[in-house]
Amino acid sequence: MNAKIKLENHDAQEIKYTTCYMCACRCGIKVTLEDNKVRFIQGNRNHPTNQGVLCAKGSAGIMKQYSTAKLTQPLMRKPGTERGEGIYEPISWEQALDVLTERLEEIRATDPSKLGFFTGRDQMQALTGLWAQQFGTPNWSAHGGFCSVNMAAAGLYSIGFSFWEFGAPDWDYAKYFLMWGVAEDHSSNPIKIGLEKLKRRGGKFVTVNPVRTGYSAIADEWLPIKPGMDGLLAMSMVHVLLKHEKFDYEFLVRYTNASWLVVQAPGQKGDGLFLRDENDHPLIWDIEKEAFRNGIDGDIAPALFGEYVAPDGRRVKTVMSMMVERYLDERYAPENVALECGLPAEAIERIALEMAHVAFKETVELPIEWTDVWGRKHDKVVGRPVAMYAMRGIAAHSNGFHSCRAIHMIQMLLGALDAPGNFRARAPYPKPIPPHQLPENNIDIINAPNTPLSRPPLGFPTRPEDLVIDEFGNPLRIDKAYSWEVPIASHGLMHMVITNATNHDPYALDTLILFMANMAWNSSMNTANIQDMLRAKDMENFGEYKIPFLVVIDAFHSEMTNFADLILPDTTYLERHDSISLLDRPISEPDAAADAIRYPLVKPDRDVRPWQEVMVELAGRLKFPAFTKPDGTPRFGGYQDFIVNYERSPGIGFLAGWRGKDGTKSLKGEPNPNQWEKYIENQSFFAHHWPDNQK
Amino acid sequence: MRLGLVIDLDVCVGCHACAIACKEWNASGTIGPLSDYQPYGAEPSGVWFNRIRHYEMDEYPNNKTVNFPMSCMHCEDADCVTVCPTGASYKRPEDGIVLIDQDKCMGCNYCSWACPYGARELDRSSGTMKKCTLCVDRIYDQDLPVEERQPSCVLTCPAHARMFGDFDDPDSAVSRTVRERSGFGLMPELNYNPTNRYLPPRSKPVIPVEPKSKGGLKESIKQFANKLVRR
Ligand code: SF4
Ligand code: SF4
Ligand code: SF4
Ligand code: SF4
Repeated sequence: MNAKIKLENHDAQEIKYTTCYMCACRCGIKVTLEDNKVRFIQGNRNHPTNQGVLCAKGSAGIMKQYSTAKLTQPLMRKPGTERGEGIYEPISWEQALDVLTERLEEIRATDPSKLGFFTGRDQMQALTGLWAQQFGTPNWSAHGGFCSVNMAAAGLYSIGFSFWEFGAPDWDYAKYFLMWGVAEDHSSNPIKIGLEKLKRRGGKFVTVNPVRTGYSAIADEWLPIKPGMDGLLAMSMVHVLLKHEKFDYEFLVRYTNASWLVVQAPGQKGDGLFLRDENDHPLIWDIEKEAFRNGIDGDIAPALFGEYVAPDGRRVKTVMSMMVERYLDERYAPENVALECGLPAEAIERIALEMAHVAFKETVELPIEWTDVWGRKHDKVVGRPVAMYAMRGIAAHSNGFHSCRAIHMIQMLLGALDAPGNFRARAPYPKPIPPHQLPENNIDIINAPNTPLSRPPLGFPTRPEDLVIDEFGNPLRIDKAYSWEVPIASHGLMHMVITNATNHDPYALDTLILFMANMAWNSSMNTANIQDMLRAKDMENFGEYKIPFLVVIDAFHSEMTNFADLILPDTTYLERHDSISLLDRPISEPDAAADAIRYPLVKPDRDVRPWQEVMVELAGRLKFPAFTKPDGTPRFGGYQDFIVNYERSPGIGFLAGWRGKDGTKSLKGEPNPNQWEKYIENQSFFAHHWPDNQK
Repeated sequence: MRLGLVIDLDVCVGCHACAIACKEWNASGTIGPLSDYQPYGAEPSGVWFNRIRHYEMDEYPNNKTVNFPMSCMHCEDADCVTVCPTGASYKRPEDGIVLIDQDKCMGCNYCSWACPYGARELDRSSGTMKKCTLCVDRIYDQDLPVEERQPSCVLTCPAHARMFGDFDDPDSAVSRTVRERSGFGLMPELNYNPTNRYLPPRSKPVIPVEPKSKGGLKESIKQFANKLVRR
């Protein structure tokens, strides 16, 4: 006898669409609600990121929503108790914000650098960065500094985009895929969807990873690299490609600076720099005109190899010649790196040659007309279908920057970049190499009371003059980013903040604000020592804590909250408005620029507030210029109002969809008062699909 | 009809998304709800309808890690049904789904001993036996959009390693895929005649290589001559 099968009571249910926040992939989710409770979370089929599927974390969002570790009200450490004891007294939001405002006003009016504001793996860096800039402190960054920064910096300084969020393998056309140091979380659903596509089409998947779990399990070939040796492996592959003359001569001439000339004057000023003309243009040797010419121009026929004597008498050499000299050295021969890499020399040589075969013998050609940077029309797009992807196994190693550069070097030699079948950029990337954004380093502006920084706290230095140091060369940032110690620190070094602030090195902070930044993760996973540091007191300063005031904002109780002096409880991702902005960490795909929102699906049952709402309120209270009307009253009614009406430059705001007064403009247009409603109507995301010739 | 799952071992990355989606759908569902013990406690555990097993085979360079999701196979000749003393465990004639009537089950464990696939787990909170229902409360729900009338684990699988369908229909996607990819059932020698099928890993692509340099590195360098390439 069959038991009766009871189906769902759909009449009591409601379906809403929002964006997952269980990791930084930001997939679209379809949420079934029943009695103001989450019944079911599934993937949104229409969403460009996950196309209907959902990973284990995404489904587990329901458990996060009902976690008993959620914070319920603002808390102040009980007077007389010590940090870490976890003894708190509840206070009202009004009291909490008054205490904080008073403290921040004082810092801002005296020495703005005494505020540190660091955030974990958040997705609102366009707002937190703007807030810090408006406050006037250079001491802001998110957690990228110990996560992806090596890789992001290597990419942004080499190819104008990078692995992780700024690019993606072209799963539709790739025939060969080499994956370096990627664990299952990166980039979760898109990679899983893509690997299946690649394998179904018969493409080869090779993984470089010390362990063979997760994605690596389904690889056609596994290279069990010794940890940290990926860079050496990549350089050996470069050796093989050069040795067998497997490189894309045209690509190197057209799209790289391999033909630029480098000054060879050991011990003298200018050694190792590009040879430049009086207008600062880099020079090449034109073999047709037999002359030094501007290496940026389109109508040149540069020598890729060779040594020349510059008009000023200095010896110069092409970049490519220098590369050949370095990497053809026996040091990089497969048989000489095999032991260090823990791999058979045969495999190193063969994989490099297999990639060369696919790149040059199985080229993809698409009949798409396009126009290059020099305005010349082409009737087809040529793609070398070797795709790569790398993540934290590369990024989080101390040698990650150079390892990742070596991987990009393979891509450049193969001509396998930003074209069909290889690794393609996602809007708003690619950007200039590196992006034209310099960190604030004017000490007078940094020290000026009640004054915003003139530039963001983070950026991409290229010269000593760009470093963020004082006249004696001391770091101006608490994390020492952009100092001589860490000059190319694209994302800052949040993992050093507690250590440096405790040691008062380079100086002491007054207040440290940490947003969703548990020390167990964001302080180099050095939990025991970090707790001691937070307990450390300054005997010269009346036994005050070395970091005098610690504010922690989080939705959940954690190792960190127990050490806070003030705890501000945040909402969960299903309870608040968020914007996943193109100004920030975008969710674009190579074929579409995209952004997304979140909006409250369930009402919080606790006395909690979204941190972005609190930030906008604090910005008004502190009278940040961008957040204040001429009459001194706050310019924005709250976060939603801010997102709709704030413009970074005319027509450019946080959300790119449904702009313009009537919501008909995409990417650029006046603010639209109904923008949030339009996003909600359209399943909480916006995608602008590029026409073929703009891809 | 003979409904069941196909699981593609060539692309299963062992991510556990299917197991969690199954939990999510069924924990607050009405058919054999599965229990969590101390979900927020020090040692969270509970009942699963679907567990991913991981096996390592052979030695480098021929080694392989195989991720192996296992749930109820909805067997044709299921001893888990015949040994059940209360009649709680039953197989539906119309579609072959094997279910447990929670009102009749007394938690005696006989069926779980009879199941060679480890598909049944005793729920310590309800004291009854639990197992995969093939999401019978989704696949027949006319109020769900057609494309969603599928098991929760199938809908969610990011690698598209899971398929659901009717094996009695020779033209169904599952039947075709099993034919094309030589899908197999587990432990046929036990004669339970399982419905679910597994697809074996594909064979590796072979890519030719064209080494060029025969001589030493000096020769290689000499080969590099400037070509006239205009930008
Ligand atoms: S991969 Fe997607 S579904 Fe999974 S946690 Fe990240 S954002 Fe959520
Ligand atoms: S969701 Fe798919 S890929 Fe992940 S473990 Fe389950 S079957 Fe395998
Ligand atoms: S797998 Fe086990 S529980 Fe499922 S039908 Fe077969 S014997 Fe019964
Ligand atoms: S079919 Fe349903 S019950 Fe069975 S394993 Fe999949 S999700 Fe769980």
